[in-house]
Amino acid sequence: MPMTIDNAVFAKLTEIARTLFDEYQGPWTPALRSEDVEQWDSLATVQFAVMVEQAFNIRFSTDEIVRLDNLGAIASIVAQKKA
Amino acid sequence: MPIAVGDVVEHRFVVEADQMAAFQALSNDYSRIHTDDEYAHSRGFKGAIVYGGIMMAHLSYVLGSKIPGSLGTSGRWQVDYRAPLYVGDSAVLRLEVTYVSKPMGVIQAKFTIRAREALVATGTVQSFVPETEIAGE
Repeated sequence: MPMTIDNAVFAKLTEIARTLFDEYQGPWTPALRSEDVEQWDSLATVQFAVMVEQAFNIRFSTDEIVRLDNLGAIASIVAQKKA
Repeated sequence: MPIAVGDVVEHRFVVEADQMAAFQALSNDYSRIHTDDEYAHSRGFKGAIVYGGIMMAHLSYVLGSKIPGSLGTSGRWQVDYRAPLYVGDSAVLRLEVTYVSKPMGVIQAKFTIRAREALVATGTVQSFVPETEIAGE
């Protein structure tokens, strides 16, 4: 089933990602995966998750953290938590 | 005791001339603002100012020995220098935990360095810590 992306959530998420992955020059789409971005390693995933938690005032569970490896999935989880 | 939001540690230090010399030798930074009182005067300071790197060495001490302690790994430091620190000043570094995530094994803290009743530096740090060291679920 295709993911539904909340545009406002995705825009804010992208803004955070741009500050963290500032060397990345490619397109920012929901399909963007960690392996597409040189700076997006396991430590950066944690830093990204912390920034997202604070920006959206949410907390990720351990199960959710392991799924935070692409922008679309993160946007979907955030939108569910904010719903 | 597990690390929790609101935990605070303070560290007092004084930077002496021999430490300035040691840092110069280590860093090879001989910029005149740190080595030349006359030049520092001309730039509006009372004298040569302490290297920011030395202040960060004291931050490193706090992180490595107090919060989060010997099991932590630094992931991010951000610092803004607000006022000069001079050789011989008595400075206080205060660090306060502002965020913890046990599932991610992360803590964040803000810090200030004050001397002569002035705010010398402010900043934030992020450290990775074994989850057993963090309070909460």
